[in-house]
Amino acid sequence: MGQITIHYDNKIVRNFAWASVIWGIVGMLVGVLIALQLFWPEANLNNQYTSFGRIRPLHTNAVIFAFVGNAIFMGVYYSLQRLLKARMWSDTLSQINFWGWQLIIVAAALTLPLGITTSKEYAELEWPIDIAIALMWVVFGVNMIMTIINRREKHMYVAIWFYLATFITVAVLHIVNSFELPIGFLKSYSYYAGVQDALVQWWYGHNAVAFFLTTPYLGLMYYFMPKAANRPVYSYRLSIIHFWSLIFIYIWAGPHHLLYSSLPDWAQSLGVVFSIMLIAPSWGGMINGLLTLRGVWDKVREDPILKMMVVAVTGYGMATFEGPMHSLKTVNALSHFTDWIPAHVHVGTLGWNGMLTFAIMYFIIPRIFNTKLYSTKLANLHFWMSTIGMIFWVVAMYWAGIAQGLMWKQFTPEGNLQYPNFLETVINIIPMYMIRALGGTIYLVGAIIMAYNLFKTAAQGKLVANEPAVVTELEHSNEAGHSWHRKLESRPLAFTLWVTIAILIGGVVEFMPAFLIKSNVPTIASVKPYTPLELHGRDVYIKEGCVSCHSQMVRPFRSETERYGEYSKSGEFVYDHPFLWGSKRTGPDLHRLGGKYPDSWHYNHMVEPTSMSPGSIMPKYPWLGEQDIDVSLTPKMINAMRTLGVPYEKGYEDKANADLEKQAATVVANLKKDGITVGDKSEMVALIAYLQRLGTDIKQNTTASK
Amino acid sequence: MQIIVVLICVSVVVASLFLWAFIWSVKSGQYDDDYTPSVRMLFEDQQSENESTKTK
Amino acid sequence: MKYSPADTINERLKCTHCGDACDGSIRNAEQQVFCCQGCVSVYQLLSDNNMCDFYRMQEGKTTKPGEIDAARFEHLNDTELQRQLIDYEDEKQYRVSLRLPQIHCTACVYLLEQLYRFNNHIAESKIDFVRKEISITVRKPGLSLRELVLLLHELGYGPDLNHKLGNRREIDPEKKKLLRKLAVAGFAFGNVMLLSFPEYLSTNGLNEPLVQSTIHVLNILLSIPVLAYSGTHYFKSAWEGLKKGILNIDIPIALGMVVLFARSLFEIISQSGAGYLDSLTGLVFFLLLGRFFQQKTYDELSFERDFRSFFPLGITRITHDKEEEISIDKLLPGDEILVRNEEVIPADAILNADKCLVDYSFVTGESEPQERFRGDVLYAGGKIIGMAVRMEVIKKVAQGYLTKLWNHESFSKKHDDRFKTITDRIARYFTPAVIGLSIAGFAYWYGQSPEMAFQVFAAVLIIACPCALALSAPFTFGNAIRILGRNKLFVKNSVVVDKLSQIDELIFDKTGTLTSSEQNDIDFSGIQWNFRQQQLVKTACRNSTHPLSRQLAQALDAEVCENIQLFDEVRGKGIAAIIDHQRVKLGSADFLELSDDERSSMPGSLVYVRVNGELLGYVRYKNAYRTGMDESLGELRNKYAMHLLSGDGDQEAPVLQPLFGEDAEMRFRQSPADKLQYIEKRQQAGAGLVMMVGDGLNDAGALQQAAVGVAVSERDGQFTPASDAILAGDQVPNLHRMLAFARDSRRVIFTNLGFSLTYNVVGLSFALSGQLTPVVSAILMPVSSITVVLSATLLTNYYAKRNGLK
Repeated sequence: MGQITIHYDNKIVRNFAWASVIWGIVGMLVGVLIALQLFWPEANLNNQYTSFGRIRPLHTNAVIFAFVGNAIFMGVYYSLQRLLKARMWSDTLSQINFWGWQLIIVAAALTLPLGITTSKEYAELEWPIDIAIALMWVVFGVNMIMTIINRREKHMYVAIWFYLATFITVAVLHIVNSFELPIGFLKSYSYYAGVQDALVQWWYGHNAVAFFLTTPYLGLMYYFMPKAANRPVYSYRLSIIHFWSLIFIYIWAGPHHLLYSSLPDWAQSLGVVFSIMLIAPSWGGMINGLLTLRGVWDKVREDPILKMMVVAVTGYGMATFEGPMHSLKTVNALSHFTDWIPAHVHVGTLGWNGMLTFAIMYFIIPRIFNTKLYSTKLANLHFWMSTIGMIFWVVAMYWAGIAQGLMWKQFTPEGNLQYPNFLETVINIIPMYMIRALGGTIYLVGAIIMAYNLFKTAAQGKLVANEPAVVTELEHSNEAGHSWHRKLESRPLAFTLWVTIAILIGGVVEFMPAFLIKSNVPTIASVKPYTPLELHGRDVYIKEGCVSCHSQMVRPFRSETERYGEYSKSGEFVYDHPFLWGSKRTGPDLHRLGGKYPDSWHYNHMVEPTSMSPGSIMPKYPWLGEQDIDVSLTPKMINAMRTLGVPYEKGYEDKANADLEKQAATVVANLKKDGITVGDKSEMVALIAYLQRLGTDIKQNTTASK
Repeated sequence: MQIIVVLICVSVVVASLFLWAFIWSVKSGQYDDDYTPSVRMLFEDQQSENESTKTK
Repeated sequence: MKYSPADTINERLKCTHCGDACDGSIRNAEQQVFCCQGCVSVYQLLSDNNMCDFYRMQEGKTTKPGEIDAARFEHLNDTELQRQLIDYEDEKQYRVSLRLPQIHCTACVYLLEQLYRFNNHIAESKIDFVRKEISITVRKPGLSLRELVLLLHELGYGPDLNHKLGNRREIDPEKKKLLRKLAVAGFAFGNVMLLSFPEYLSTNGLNEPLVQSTIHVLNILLSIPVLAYSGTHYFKSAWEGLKKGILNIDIPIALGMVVLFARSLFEIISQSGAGYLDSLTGLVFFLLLGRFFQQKTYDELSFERDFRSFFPLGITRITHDKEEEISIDKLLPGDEILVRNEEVIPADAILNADKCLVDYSFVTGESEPQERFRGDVLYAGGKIIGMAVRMEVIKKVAQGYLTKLWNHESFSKKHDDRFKTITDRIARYFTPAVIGLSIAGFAYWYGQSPEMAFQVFAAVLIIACPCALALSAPFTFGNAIRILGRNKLFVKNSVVVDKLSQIDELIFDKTGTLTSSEQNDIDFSGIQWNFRQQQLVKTACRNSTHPLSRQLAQALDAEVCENIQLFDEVRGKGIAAIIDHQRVKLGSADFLELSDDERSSMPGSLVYVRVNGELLGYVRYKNAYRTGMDESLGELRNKYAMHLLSGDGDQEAPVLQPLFGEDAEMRFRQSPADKLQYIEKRQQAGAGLVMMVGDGLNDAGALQQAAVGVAVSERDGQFTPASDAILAGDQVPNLHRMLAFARDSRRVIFTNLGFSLTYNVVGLSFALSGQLTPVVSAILMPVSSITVVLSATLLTNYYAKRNGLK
């Protein structure tokens, strides 16, 4: 036992920092691009690869997994080594973690514009990338846990607990949500269907926000905020309570994303109760963060790092106040599917994640380059641009969301919808979309200024790749006692008990999936599997990211049934692998679209949306008529669907393409009547077939019973 | 709704894992002192190379 | 004390180390200014080790290094003593935990956690800031414990060696175990509630059999650890009770838990219902929560401090004129020892010096040091004031006067069994009643339907499960302890509050209890002096640290004269000074060498004053009763039988008798043994519960003998025997309020019992009539628990306010 000199690995911190800066700018640039498209559709550069539906997931993935993801690694690799007084356990794993993660991002950046997507929000990447993500995450986890095991500081500071919870939970979430059946190298279908898929997706989606955007950042807050203010956290005890209560409550709140959906009532209520409970630990954490700065507010006025942290923590407080509010059924009835949700999300991402990331970068870069920040003035400018950009962004979207939500629900005294044409409600908020794009641009320029400032800082200093530190070697003396299993063994009763419980839980978890497929019987007799052509059309729908703007979930409100038709039943989605309920209505709901318009209307609307709906902000899809579907995939698709429980009869995979051609011919003939010529294998034909099928099964049922 | 069974089980398992972690942390004395760690993390490590050779 | 006029201090000069103002006369090589040599050396030490960051961090005042007398730590080389102090030791290292009272800011942590920079044998040092403790690991061979302590002294962090640290590893397991049990129960409770959500919301249950059965299986899995781990205490206690033939409250709880679980298991397996696992886990969780808060409250008060922790650990023994430090355990009769200024006499001894001053304040509460002469017996526990003196030990430490008093058989409170707590008393009736009722119900229904009979049997046990009863006392008393603690009556445990609420007789000590040892009334009627003379006296007193001087200086309203030519103080005797060329002498009659005629016979402490040879008279310090004491005693004598036992003479009897009431018994010149016997006699005479309020070790026996012994303590950390409660001196006049509050808290418990009785009657009527549906029990059970917990908290707070407590 004694003092030794170790070296912290700063190189890996720098790598992740630069990656985060670069990907962050790319992700925000894509964000600005899609924001522009929402009032100026031509901003898609008349190109399918940069069209809204395809690059909206690119934006979310880039900012969440590339910008924030790399920033998490940057912050964790920096703080973990110092808190544990140990270099990362394995430099090789660090390197693999870094390069592997960048490769995943590159893969995402290539596949998403190509339309290779699962369409599940924040989990759009296809299965080979999913596996790569799982591997990289485990690499990160192993490296972190081994560093913890080999630590030289007995106490594990609260930040480390947040990092650990992040690792464990994200791993579980990712694996459970990524159950999918591949039919090719870059195509798969979700293992779950309809309501079940929705439930898994939002269990994942909510927890991804909780454990990817929140817990790691809380860990970073608990490390970097006291460091930047040079004073201990307001209450360390509160931070411990904050951690445990948050961890135990968060995981149950997912169903609040599915209020008024086809999810059973009790599951919705459960989600509501836990979402409301969440406000306590969240605000506990926020207050703890803000009070850390008590007595140094004079410093806050001058230091851009602290200023950004204050805005970040305030953003966290606002977002976590809003979340439980949105979980209240009355609020949710208004806010869901509107722009209020993106506003809420961006308070969290632009404020909490963005600003904290910036602050941490301004903190770390000068330190690892052993120099001073190149320009505090520029950092202050960046602070103001981020803050103002964010305010423009969210205020415009709050306005837009509430205004549109109210318009959707507005009835005339005679009892008719005041705005029966959905487009009216869109055109009304287009100015807000413009302000949003402006806000986003300001925020982006701020980030570019930061990049310049940071690169200049790096240039004037020199990277301390291996920062020396004198630490006390920790010797594991024999006083520490027995290992845990020896302790358990010495108490046979307790040991037996725990083993039994472990086995029982394991058993329950193992045999449950076996039940799943068997019980997947439709509860509505008239609901039939999709035809082969419709399946292809559905894939086109997924590929083009239609789900980004169109929901397929008519909620049980008069305003919605009046506008769209009968509300959606859970039994209607039993063959939907994956579900396509959507989370945002930039355009109208499509669940009852089938049979509403002639095929030619759809054709014309796809080629030139404004010809059918003047003022529409939907992009043009001319390539749909030019590109063909791959009919050689049909048998594979049918087989996959059957494996997942869709009752196609045996041997249907061989007859499927004949059916497909027959149905395609009908569509082509329909179009021909209106003077439109299109290839019978074109994506357009398939998509029209799918759209015409939407929500019609139940209509047949009702007409039949009448 | 069968998926809910899986989700419940997975969530309970994860929660149990955290319960175990909590019990471990209390047992191993992680929270014996709930103030000093917040101060200790503020100190930067000593960096001088030649120093360490002296104390080694 | 050297006096330096304020104007000579240059305000701008501050000590580089400690920040104190200084005159600039002491400087180091770099011309930095220091206030004393101690600060110079600490600064040098820090700068040599590259630790000047310390000053940058430092917010408050640095610790000034004290004068170090290396010889004082010789006894730390004693292996016996080392074994006491060292936590862990092997061939390569040892670890020691020490209390450093000087730790006060972040910079201290910074400095002390880098001790290895000052000595390369120190492997690691960790601070617990809140406890002001340091834990140091030292590599062997190298630095001895004594050298380590010296190093800490040099840095200005002299460890408090007398304060033996409670070995944390020994105390904590129980608390941690409870916390773990609580965590498991809370976790299970939360999850079971969560999983019962579909059950709560849809009246006809779930239509999904798979989901339902999964939920039920998980609920059972979650409840098993609650029953088998968290609830073990109740089963054990019930079993112990049964073995002794006592029907305690834990029996119905344990029985209820088993029945709840069995019943739930039965319902779930037979698919007839969802069971009561939420009630079961909730019950255990709330019960443990009550226990946890109770324990937490106790932990905040450290009672079981061994009186020996106030003794020095080591002492200087003189053999053949050579001094050596030994552990006091090794002290034998016949040893000659040297006791220095401010050191405590470790064992009864005979003085081998001409004379000395002994401060027995923490034995007797008497603030004035007493004079002892050659050949006198000095009792253990006194503190030597002034010159170091030699003495010969006549008894081993274990046989000392204090130890003997301490070890008196009555000190170990064996008679606790006589007292039955409220809960136990009610349980005596409650338990058989519940069991009887359930059997009766069973018998009644058996004739009609055996199946129904079992259901009723279980239902009665479940619904009558005395959660409310079991929660009521812990929560009420727990909160009462907290409230009393806020008012500076620190109560040992809930049994004491229970007893406080039932006190019949009150016995008071006088000195230090009714009177304050810190503030006296000063009587100027024996002196004739002018303003100028008062000014001189005040100036003289200002320069003394003696309590009487300070009080006098405070009492005199005159300007201080700064022109002092001479100042000489004989500790405990008086002051001689020349101020403004006037000779001032004040102090005891002996100090002023007064003739018998000049001495007064007035009671109290007298200080004579002579200016320029002229005797002006004397200042008299009267015993001052605490403010509000008369009112308090007035309240008390209406409710309790009052007694006064005083060690002093009976001069004050005429004053005290009306305060205590005409029929109150008052005895003076009581020895500690007399007091003890008096209480014993009262108890044998069947006086009911006797409470003794006293202070100091002299009352220790009496405090122990009484049903409730309340030790009055003037300062924090002043020696207090293992009494049942400690009362801050200035709060003695509030005693009547606290006792009234204790009585009220008993009322709270009865109110709660009323609540739970109502619930039970309603529930039982459902149960006995065979109509107990899950809904009824699911509502009644948690509601009764929550009502009890809430009302216990709210009502105690209300009564505290009504009784004028904080």
